[in-house]
Amino acid sequence: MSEEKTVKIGDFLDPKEIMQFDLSSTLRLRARSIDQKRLWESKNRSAEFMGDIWSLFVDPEKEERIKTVLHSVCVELIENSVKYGYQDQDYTIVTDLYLKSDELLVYVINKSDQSRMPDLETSARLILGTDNIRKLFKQKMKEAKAAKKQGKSKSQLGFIQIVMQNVRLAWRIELGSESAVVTTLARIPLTEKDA
Amino acid sequence: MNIEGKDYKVSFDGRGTLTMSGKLAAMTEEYEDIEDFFEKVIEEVSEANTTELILDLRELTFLNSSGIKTICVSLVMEADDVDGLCLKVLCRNSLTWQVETVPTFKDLMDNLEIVFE
Repeated sequence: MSEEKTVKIGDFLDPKEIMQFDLSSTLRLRARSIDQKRLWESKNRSAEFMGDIWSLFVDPEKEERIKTVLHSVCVELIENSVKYGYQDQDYTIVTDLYLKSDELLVYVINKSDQSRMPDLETSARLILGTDNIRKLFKQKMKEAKAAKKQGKSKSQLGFIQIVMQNVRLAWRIELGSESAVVTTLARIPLTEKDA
Repeated sequence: MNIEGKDYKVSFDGRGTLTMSGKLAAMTEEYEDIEDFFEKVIEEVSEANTTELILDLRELTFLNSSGIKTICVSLVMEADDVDGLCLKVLCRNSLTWQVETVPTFKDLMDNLEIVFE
C-alpha cells in the first residue's frame, strides 16, 4: 500500500472548515476531454467570466478592482493546472469560490506529477518567506533573462504576480504514489484597508 | 509590422512606437513569436540610433504573468542594454493591472519613464 502524505504551506484554510459564507460556486474542467488549445481558451473565458460575475456581489466601489484581480488570479492558477496537470490520466481542474464578508476565497484543485512537487514547495516557501516581493520580482526577471540566453524558459512569475496584487496564497499538497493533488488557495481581501 | 492573435494585437510603426492592445493570455508558443518580434524592434531602434521608444499599453486591458515576463525580459531589459535609449510606457489609470504592475518595470531599466493618463 502506498504511503500518503499531506503538506500545507502558508495559511491554508480547509474548504470543509468554511462554515460561514454568503455565496459559493464550483467550476469543473475535465482537462483531457478537450485539446490543449481549446482548454487554454476555456481557461481565459472561465477566468474572465468569474471576474465579471463575482465582482457584482461586492461593494460597488470595489467592483472594478475585484473583477480584475479575480480574473488575473483565476487565469494564473488555472494556467498552472493546465501546464502542470497529470498527463497520464484523465483529470479534472476544479475551481471553488467562496464569498465571505471580509474576503473572497479561490481554491484551484488539480492533479499533478509527484516529481514536480519539490519545485512547487520551494517556490511557494520562497514567495511566502520574502518581505520584499518587488525585489523577488526583479530577481526572477534577471533569472529569466539568463535562462533565455541559454535557450530555456523560466519565470515562476505567476504566484509572484498574484501576491503583488495584495492577495495571500497558501497550498495543500496531498502526495500519492505517483501523482499529487495540489490545492492552491488565493485569499482576496475585501476589507476597506486591503481591498 | 505586427502580430495579431485572437484577442490581441502587437504592432510597431517603424518610427518608434510599439503598441499592444486587447487581452493577452496566450500559450507559450505565441509568446515565443512575440519575443522574436520584440527582438526585431530593439534591433531596428538600435540600428536607427532612436533615442526614445514608446510602448503604448493604453488599450491592453489584460495581460497574464507570461506576458509580463515577455515584456520585461525581451523588451524592457533588452532596451536597457541599448546605449542612450529611453523607454516611455503609456498606461491608463483605469486599468488595475497596469497601476499595480507597470511601476515594477522601473526596477529593470534606469532610463524608463511611465506616463499614466
